[in-house]
Amino acid sequence: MKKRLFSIVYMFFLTLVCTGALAALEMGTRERVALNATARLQRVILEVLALPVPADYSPRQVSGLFDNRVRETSLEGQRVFVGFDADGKTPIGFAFAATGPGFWGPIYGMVGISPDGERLIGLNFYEHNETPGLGGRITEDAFKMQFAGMPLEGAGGIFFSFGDIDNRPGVFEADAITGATETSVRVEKFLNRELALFVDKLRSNRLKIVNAALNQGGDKP
Amino acid sequence: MMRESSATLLSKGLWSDNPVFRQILGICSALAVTNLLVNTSIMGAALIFVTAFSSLTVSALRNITPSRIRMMVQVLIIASYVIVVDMALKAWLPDISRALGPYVGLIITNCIIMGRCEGYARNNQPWPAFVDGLANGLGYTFVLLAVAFVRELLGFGSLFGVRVLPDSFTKWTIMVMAPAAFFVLGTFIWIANTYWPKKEK
Repeated sequence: MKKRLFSIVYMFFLTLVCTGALAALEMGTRERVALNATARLQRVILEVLALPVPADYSPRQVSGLFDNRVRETSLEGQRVFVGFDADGKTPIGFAFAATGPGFWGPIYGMVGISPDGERLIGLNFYEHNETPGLGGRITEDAFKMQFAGMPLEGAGGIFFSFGDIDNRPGVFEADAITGATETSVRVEKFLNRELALFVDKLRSNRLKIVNAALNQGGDKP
Repeated sequence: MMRESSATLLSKGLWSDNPVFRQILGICSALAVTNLLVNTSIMGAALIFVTAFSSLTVSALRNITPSRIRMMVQVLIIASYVIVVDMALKAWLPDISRALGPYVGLIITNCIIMGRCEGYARNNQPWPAFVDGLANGLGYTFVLLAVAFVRELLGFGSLFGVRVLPDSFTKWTIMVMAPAAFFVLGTFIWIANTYWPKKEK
């Protein structure tokens, strides 16, 4: 009986020590972990708005740059990030999140659009489960950068295509990833869909968004 | 139990009783995290840390831990160290943490660590237990790095992210996928057992 009681008390105190130490460590790193996550998304947004972030910037510096140049607002419930020139008044682009199914799991992307709503200025995928070296190459510059400057004319909701487009007017011809047909096809599908949904909304509400963003960030330097 | 020198413990963990290619333990993560050398190094470092300190702690508490609950205690200790590693990676190496994904948490289930706690640390003094844990962690890391070297070189044409093969080199796509780890690890075990067969006792 005594032995049993000792086992229980022993386990209880050992658990207390371990969880106590872990809780202390968690409290010590919590702020840093949260900042890492925020800064990572902020870096992606800055990049798609063609505001380059030096690679050696710390999470804090990224957040600083973001607060200076980008303001967040919403358009019909969707988050929209508006990038501003150094003067803080002239819009340089709009960014929105575009998410869709990939081959192995969801792909989370961010798209930057020019202030007039006519061109795509940047694209990035910040979370995905595609095969490294194959579908995973959607995060490489060679793939992403081909979209920078792509005109958003669109024909029947199709803005770009990897396939044989027979010179369809308004459809941008992009290069797919060799060996990752499934990922490419899915990216083509969901990105076109998200663009079609967003671009129309954006074009008819441009001024409203910019004003909302300016008001939102009024108290910021 | 006979006392063994630190050098003997190290050579056993690294080679003659290597956990991966002699005892075929820890294969799951050996297959999952070996397509890039950088990720593999961090995973190896995490496992070395957890194995060494879990063995040390289990050994330090061996005289007061009631034997009927020893496995619960071992799991608690191992899990605590794994969470320490996971939190540290999330705070200071977020990119690596994301690349390793669930595999850091899964170190808890790695048979090597529990095997060393149960098979060695609970019957030996803290320092030899620590060295034994360290040696087994190193043995695991060494095999993983060997597998990752082949996979990254042929699959990406690079080593530690630095391109070493010319652009004209055709990348072996299969090498970046999980099945390649089976082939490479299998080949490794085959070579090791052919040229350096384990001595029968």
